Amino acid sequence: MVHNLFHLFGGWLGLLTRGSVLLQVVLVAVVLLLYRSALLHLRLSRANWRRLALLAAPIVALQLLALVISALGRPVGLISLATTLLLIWAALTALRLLLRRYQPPAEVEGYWQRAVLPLYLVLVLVALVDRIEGLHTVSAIPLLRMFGQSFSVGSLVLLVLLPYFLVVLSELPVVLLGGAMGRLAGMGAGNRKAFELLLRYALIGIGLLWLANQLGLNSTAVAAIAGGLSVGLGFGIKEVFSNFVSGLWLLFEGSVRPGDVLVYDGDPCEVRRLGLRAATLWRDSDNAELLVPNQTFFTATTTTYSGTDSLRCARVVIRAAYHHEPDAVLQLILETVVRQPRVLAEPKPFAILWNFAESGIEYVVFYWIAHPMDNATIAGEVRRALWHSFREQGIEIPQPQYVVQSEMPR
Amino acid sequence: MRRRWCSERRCWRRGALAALALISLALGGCGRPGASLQPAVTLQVLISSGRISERFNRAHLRQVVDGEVADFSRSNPQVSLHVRYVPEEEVLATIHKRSDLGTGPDLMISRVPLALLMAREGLSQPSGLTDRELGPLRLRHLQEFRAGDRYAALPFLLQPNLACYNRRVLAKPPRSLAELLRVGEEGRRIGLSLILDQVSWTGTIFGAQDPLLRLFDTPVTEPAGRALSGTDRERVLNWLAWLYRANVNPNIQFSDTNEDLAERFMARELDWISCNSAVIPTLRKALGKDLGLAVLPGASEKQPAQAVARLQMISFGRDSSAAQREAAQDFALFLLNDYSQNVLMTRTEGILPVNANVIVPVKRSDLLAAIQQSESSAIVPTFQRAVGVRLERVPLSRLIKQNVYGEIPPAEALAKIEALARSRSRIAALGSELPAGGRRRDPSAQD
Repeated sequence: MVHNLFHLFGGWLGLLTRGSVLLQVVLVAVVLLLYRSALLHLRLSRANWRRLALLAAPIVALQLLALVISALGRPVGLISLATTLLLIWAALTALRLLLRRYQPPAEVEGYWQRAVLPLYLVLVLVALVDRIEGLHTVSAIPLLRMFGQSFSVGSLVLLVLLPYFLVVLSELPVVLLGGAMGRLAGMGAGNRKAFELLLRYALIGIGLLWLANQLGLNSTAVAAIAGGLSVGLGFGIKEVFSNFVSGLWLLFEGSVRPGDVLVYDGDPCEVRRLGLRAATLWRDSDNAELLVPNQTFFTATTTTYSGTDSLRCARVVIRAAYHHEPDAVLQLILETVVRQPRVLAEPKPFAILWNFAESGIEYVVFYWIAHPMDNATIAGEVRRALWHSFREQGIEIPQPQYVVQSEMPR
Repeated sequence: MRRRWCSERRCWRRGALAALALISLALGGCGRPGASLQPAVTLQVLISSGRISERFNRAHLRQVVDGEVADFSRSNPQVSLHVRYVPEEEVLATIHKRSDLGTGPDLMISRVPLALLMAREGLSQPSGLTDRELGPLRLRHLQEFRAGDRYAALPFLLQPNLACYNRRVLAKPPRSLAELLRVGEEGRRIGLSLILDQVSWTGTIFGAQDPLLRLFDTPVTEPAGRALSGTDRERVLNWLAWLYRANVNPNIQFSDTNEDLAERFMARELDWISCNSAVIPTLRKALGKDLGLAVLPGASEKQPAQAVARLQMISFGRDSSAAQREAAQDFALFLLNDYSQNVLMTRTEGILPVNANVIVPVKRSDLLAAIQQSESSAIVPTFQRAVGVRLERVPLSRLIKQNVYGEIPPAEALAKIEALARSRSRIAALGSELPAGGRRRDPSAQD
C-alpha cells in the first residue's frame, strides 16, 4: 500500500512538466533563495525587527510577479499561495517579537521552536496538498494494514502529529486556565501547578481517545495492543509505567508538587516540574537541575519544607569564649538575629547554650524564615551580623586552643 | 561543542541542490520511455463518482474505471495514471482550485450536466481528437456534443434507468403504469423516487415529461421568461395529481434517494422499484437470481416509459502540457475502442457501450436485453436536452415532494415549478453559452 504514496508523489512531480507550474515553482524558489541570501549576507539575528521588515521584499516581489503572469493569462495560484504563507509567517514573526517584549524571551523562543514552527510547517504542507490534490482525497489514500484494519494517509498523519501537538499545544491554554483558576479560587502556586498538570493530562487523554475513535480502532485491536503492553510492562517498560503512576499518585496525594521544596541528597531543592517519568528538582547552591524518578518519592522517605507550610526553622551555631557571661551572650545573639530583615519575627527566634566545647562555649540560635530555599543566604547574613555584634560588644570568638606539653629530657 | 550537521549557509545550498535534482527528475531525467524509475508522462484523471449519497454508483464506477486503468497501464507503461474520485458536489470547486495553480486534471469523467458546467466555466476544453480518429469507433450520441469542428466532450458509457423487481414476488413485471398501480393495489410494494429526473418517467403516459424537460432546457425567447402552453400545463397538472394519488396508496412508497430505494429493495421491503443500471451489481449481490429487470412501464407494453438515462462523458482539462494532452487523448481512445467498450460491458453488469461496433449480446443475457431495451426508449441527456432539470434537481425535487405529501396542491406545485424555470432563465440559455458549434446539429448528421 505504501506504493500509493510514491504513486501520489510521482503524480505531483509529473505536474512540474507543465510549463505554467514549473514557472511558478522556479520563481517562488528564486525569490526565496534571494531573500535567504540577503539574510545570510546581512547576518541578522533570528528575532529581529529588521529581519521582519526585510520579509516585505519577497512578498512584494511575488505579488508583482503574480500580477505580471496573471496579465499574461497564466495561472498564479502557487505564487499567491506562497505569498499568503509568507504573510502568515510575517504575522507570526511580528507576534513573536512583540511577545518577547512582555514575556521572558527564553519561554517565547521555547514555545516558538516546539509549537509554532512545527505548526507552520504543517500549515504549509496542508495548504499545498489541499490546493494540489485536495486534502480529503489525499487523506483517504490507504497506506497500511494493521490488526485487520486499513490505515489511510490521513489517519497515520493524525497518529503521528496529534499526540505531539496535544502535548505541546496543551501547555499554553492550560497555563492560562490554571492562572485564571488560581486567581479565582485563591490557589497556591503548588496547587495551581498540580491543577495545570492534571488538566493537561486530562486534555492529552481525551485527545488520544478522540484519536483512537477517529482511527476507528476496533476492540480487538485495542485488546491486542493492551496485551502487548501487558507483556511490555512486565519486562521492558515496568519502570516507566511505575514512574508514570507514581507521578500521578503524587499529584493526587499532593505530597510532591511543582513549587515544593524538598531535601534531596542533603540539599534543599525546589520541584520545578513533575513529568511523566521524572521530577525536575532545582538545587540553588549550584543551579543544577536534578532529574529524579517519580518512584523515588513514592518509595523513599522525603523531607519537605513545604508540606503544611513553607516556613523553615533554621539554625546558626556560634562560639564565645568561656570568660563571657552566657546570659549576656544569649541576649546579644537574640537581639542581633531579630534585627535581620529576612528573619521572621513570628515565630520568635530563640537561642540556647548548646555545648561546652574545647575552645569555647557553643551557642545555637533558632529562627524562622519564609522561604526554605533562602536558608543559605539568610544564614550567611545572620553569621555576619553576629560577628559584628560580638566585635562591638567585645565578645571574643575563640580560636581553637590546644595545650601542648613537652617534657625536657633530663 | 556539539558539531552541527551543516551550517546554515551550507544547509541552504544542499537544499537548493536537492530541489534542483528533484525538478530534473520530474522533468524526465529518468523518465524516458523504457526507463524503469518513472514513466515519461503522468496523467491526472478526475472521476466524478456521483453525489456523496450515491455510494452504490460510486462503487460501480470505481470498479469500471479501475479495470480500464489497469488495462491501459499494462499496454502503456510510459504513462502513469493518477486517478482521483471526487464527489459530484465537489468536482467544480476542486477543478477550480487546482486550475488556479495550473495543476488541473488532464481528463475528467462525469455525467452530462457536470460536463456541461465544466465546459461553460472553461474548466474543460474541446477534444483534440478528429473525426478521422473517432469515426471508426462509431460513438453513439457523439454528434450531440459537437463544438465547431471538434467535440466539447466525448460520450463514454450509458447507464439507463429501468425497473428492478423481485422475481419471487412478481412472476411478471408490470408492463404499463396502470398495471403497476393494480399490482400495488393487490398488495405488492412499489418504490418510486422523489428526485424529479428519476420519477419524471411516470409522466410519459400523461405527456408531461417532455414539456417539463423543455421548460428548463429551451432557450428563452420571450422577455417575460418561459411558460407552459395551456395543453402542456394540463398534462403536467394531471401527472402531479397522479403522483399525489399514488402516494395515497399505502403500497406505493416514495423515497428521497435512489440508495434508500435500493436498500429497501435489497432488504425485501419493496417488491418493485425504479432503478439506474449502475445499482444492478449491488442488487444482484443481495438478491441473486431473484433479481428481475424490465423496461419501465409506460402506456402499454409497446409504449414503454421514457426515462432520462445517465450518460458518462469524457472531458479534457485545460492545463495539460502537450505530452499530457496527447496521452489523455490516447487514454480516451483506449476507453472508447471496441475492446475496452466490450470489456466495460462484460466486466460489470449495468453498462451499455457507446461504441456502436460492440454488439450487445441481448439473446445471451436477459439483463443486457432489458438494459438495451430501456436505452432504446430512454431520453439521453445532451448539453441542450434533459439537463436543466438535473441542474435544478434540489428545488424541483423539493416541490415534487411537497406535492406528493400533499403539502401543496398540484396547481401550486406547477406554478412554483414555472416560477423556478423563469427565475433560472440562465439555465434556459445554456445552449447559447456553449462554445461555438456546441448546439445540436441536424439529427440526420448523427451516426
